[in-house]
Amino acid sequence: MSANQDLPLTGASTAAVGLVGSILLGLGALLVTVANLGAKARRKIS
Amino acid sequence: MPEVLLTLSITVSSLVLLLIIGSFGYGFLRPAVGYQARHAARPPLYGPVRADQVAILIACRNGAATIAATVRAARATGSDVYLVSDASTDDTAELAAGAGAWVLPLTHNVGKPAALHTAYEAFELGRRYRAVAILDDDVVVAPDFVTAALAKMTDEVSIVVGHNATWWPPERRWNPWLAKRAYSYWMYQAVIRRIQSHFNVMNCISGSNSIYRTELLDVVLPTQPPYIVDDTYWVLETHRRNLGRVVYAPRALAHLQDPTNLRDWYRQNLRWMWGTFQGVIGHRVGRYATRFDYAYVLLILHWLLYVAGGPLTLWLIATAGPGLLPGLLFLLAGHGIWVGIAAWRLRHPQLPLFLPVIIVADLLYRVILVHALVKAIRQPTVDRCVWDSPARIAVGAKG
Repeated sequence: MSANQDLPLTGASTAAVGLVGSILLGLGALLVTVANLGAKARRKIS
Repeated sequence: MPEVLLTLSITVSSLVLLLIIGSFGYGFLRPAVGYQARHAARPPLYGPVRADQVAILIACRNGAATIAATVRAARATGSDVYLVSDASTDDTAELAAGAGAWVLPLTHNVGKPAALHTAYEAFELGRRYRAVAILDDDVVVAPDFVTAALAKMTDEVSIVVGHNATWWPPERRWNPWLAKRAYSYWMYQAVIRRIQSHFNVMNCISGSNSIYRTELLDVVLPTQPPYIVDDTYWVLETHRRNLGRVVYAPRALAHLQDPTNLRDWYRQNLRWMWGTFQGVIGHRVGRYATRFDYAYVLLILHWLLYVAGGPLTLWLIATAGPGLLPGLLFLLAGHGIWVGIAAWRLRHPQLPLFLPVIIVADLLYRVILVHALVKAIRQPTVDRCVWDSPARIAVGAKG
């Protein structure tokens, strides 16, 4: 048997992590999209 | 206050803007990076596995109380069952053979991972089968365990994790530690494990009841795990070496024996979390730009907030004054909703009566997290992956 399976999952900490995770995920997706736009622009030039 | 808000919003906006400009520049200067990463992350494709291509392997040391029931249940799945007796001094080998297992008795105690590897080689499981279910010696699987797990083993999958259910018999219906564990398993699998399985970011599997492709075992079994939890090492290696997806099979049911007293509960959780933190340190979680690392870092953030929430809860209770009773009721209600759903789903109507124990154990679990972290920092690896299991209860047939 392993690891953290006895860890409860209640309350504000879970909600906070969900919120922070969503914001970071959104920001990450935005930055990846912008980086791809940069790569696209480079390929158009060269 | 308005000045603070204004400063904060300007700072955050500037930071985001800088990040956007930086990302565009990064993509412009290194246009190939994004494409490389996407292709490299694709797991290998394995072939399909039939039920008759699955073996069951059990490592056991002095498990006479439970081994016959475990082997009988494993045999009922229709798969061949192999057992390695790790220098047992009781009747383990005879009882397992009598229940229908092929038995390899070892004369020296080598520990579970080394015993599994010895048996895997001796029985030539890698050559004769396409997948191996590794079970603990006190686990009782359902007759359709293998077929239910194989339904989830698609070409990209290398590990299928079974569903844990605490063995909570009527004669032990008032044991608070079984109640706590039954609830925790339900909660963990209903939420975290399902989400992690969907995104292939599972950081922790059930070493007691999972099925592994032999291609994976050929790679991970020969290495002695440097952590106190062997399956933590296996799952981290699977992610790091990109050996395939790790998925959860909710219908592949296995009943587990769990601790029945505070001491055993604390020690088992401490070992699990010690192994978890060893894995975080040893496999440099958070140091790579992968989805797995991102999800794991979020989980660690959750642990941080969870631990900090313990003293905060106690402080709020201590300073509540006339608000103490409403505060306590609020705390009870928060847990009560989850416990109520668990009682319904697990068909254990007595579960809500354990609410105070669950809340206290929940506070205690934060101590375990800190204790395990300190232990992992002081001892980030182990020479031998050997431990004592909690006391087992002799079993008849489990439901």
